[in-house]
Amino acid sequence: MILTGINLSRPPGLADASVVAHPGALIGLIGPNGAGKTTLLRALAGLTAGPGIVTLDGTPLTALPAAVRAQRLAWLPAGREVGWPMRVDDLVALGLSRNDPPAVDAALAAVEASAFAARRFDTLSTGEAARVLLARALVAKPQVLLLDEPVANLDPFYRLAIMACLRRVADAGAAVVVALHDLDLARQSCDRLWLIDHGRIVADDAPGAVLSPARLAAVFGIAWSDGGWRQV
Amino acid sequence: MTLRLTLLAVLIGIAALALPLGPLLGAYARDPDLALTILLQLRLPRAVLALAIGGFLGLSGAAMQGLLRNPLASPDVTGASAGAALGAVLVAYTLSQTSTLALAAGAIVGAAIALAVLLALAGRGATTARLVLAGVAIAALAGALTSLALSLAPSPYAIYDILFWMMGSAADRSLVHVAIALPCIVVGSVLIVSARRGLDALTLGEEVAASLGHDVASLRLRIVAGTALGVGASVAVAGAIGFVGLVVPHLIRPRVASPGASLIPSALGGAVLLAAADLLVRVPVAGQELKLGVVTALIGAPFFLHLIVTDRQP
Amino acid sequence: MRILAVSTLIAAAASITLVPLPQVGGAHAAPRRVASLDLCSDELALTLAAPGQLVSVSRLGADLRETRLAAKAQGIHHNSGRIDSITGLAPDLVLVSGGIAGSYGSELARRLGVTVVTLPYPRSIADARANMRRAAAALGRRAAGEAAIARFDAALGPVPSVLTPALFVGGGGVTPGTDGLAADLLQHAGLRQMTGGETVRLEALLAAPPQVLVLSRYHDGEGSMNAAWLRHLALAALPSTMRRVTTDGRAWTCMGPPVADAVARLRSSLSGGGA
Repeated sequence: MILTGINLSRPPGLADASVVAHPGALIGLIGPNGAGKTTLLRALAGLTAGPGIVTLDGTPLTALPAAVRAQRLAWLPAGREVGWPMRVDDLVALGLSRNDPPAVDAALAAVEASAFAARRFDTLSTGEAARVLLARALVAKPQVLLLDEPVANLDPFYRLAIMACLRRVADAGAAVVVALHDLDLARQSCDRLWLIDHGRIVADDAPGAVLSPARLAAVFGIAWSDGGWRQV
Repeated sequence: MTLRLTLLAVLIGIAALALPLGPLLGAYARDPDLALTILLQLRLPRAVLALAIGGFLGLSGAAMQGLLRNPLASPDVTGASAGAALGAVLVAYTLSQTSTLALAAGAIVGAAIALAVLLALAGRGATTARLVLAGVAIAALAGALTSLALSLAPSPYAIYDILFWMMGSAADRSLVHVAIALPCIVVGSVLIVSARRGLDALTLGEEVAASLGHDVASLRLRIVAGTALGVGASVAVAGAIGFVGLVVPHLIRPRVASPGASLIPSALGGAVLLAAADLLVRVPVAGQELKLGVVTALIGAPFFLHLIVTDRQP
Repeated sequence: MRILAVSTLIAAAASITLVPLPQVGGAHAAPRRVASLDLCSDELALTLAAPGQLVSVSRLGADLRETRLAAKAQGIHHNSGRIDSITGLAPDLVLVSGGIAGSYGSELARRLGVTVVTLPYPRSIADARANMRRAAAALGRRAAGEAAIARFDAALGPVPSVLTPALFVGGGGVTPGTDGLAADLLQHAGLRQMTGGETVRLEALLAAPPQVLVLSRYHDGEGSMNAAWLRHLALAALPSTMRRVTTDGRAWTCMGPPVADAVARLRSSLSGGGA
């Protein structure tokens, strides 16, 4: 999946950005609040017609029929509100264009949520709800998975569990782009990081290279010292 | 549940044809043709309209609650019914176009305008408060304009019709009304039911629905156009009947899996409720038939309050 | 009896303050500038006033949809029905049928030095005659009054010895009572009002069709549920054995001078076999 020419800054930034998400890669999208992580994910998902062109295996996203795009690409927004107290398995099935109970069971198993398949969504804890919504995004076995803060408000155990699940999805051949705020989690879980600042991608490299002290100070205004993060 | 509701609707439909028995038997004793005329020209239209309109109100209420992800959305709360009444009144009383077809056209346009204004004012995914405020304002404005149009109408009888347009009635309707309203209600229902799967996806939000391959704009258009068509035709022949579209989907909600799955049961529930209410209004109170909206509110409001009090998440 | 009449327009006939007739002794001066404030007094004034004597009638009295006498009211000032709307015309006599807007209106009339004559809504044929006589006296047109009464009685004719059971019904199924002025007038057309005083349901009409159905047509091409009632398919489905006649509903609003002709036409359409 190749994204070219997207410029998220208002006023317009300097250069066209171009990023590529390869199959099998687990990419962390990091940046300060308001940097444009959500906007970039939405552009990648084809939800906003930006100035750039998003291509999927060489085909512009806009040229793909909606049904094909829905099958190949899944987007999980940060919000976890659901407008109806549905059963968990019914909710996961919304990610499919046809009836396929084994796929639903497999997706629930992948996020370790099989135990509450028959419960109503409004009875779930935050951690359970997050995993069920992730199962909805996984159920169609998309080639590209775009996730906006899937671990927000989760305790450390579930953060690790979800990242482990995303690793399995990437290992199975999907390109996964996940927006994260937790830099340690991003460093430890991702193959590659996209650092975004003021609407532009300022780094696209291995975690160690992206999270250099100079960049962290410049973009986030923080530095590591005495075993913890400090403001600079 | 669907089967039981269908049976109940059929039973009430039969009762609507048969009750009260007195006039029917009296006419039959005099001349069987007269009894047949009462059945075909008076009771059949009344029964069909009560079932069809009640059904459509339930259906469109469920669809709007799903579309707007808002438990208070319904044809009456969004101002669609009041807009339809205004459209019909302007056509019939101000423009003196008294054919049922012209009334229906006016009402459909009125409902469509009310819904368009609501969506423009409250926007997508608006908060409950914003949607309800906008709907209340539209309904109040349309109601005031309806009263004004009736007051200024050339016919001195017009002012007596305020109650009909505001509260609704299926009494003394004829097959002409059925012939105009029923096709509109059927087409409106088909449009809404065709949006069934999209409504389910909408529970995850409009953008997720779009990312799942649903054409959200078309979905919204189908539901809004279907509602305008059906509510417009319903109001044109039976006035603005409240509460059915609001209450019935709530009664159905805990018993079905998803918004899409609530459509058909809500339609059946609406048909049962309105046809039952129309049976009740046949019992004259102080020599007068009550208006349908009075009875639906008398039944519906306490039910609704009970629901709010008992259900933790109404 | 709220029925055939446009009850709101006639105001409350029950609360009438009778104003003494002007003393027509002494100079015998007939009023020269007469204003009438409502439809029913308009009908009397338009029937009885001398040319040029009537300077204002109510808006309804000049409306052909409300009374066929409106043709005579063209070119005359139309008032709103309130005494305020005619003060500029300096009337010396004001005719009303339902009173003049309470104490404010009476006070205004007193200050203006205007004589107000109330012609109460008739409850019997004798009342209808008395109204003509009273209006004629107030107008200084006693002879015209007696002539109008004679025409009225001639048009009504005698009550036939055999009456046909009938139902007189207006838009929306409203009916006059079985006793009362409308029922009395119907007797002069050879009809006896069978039931009435309340709204007749179409279903009840079909279950027990009357021998004669008199449909009172009034504003019937206009948009209203009452007018729509007259167009209902079930009315057309009534058995052919039932006679169906129509009458000009305008005449039955006030049941003043024009109603006698309506009764005469009703009688002739029944005897002539036409409907």
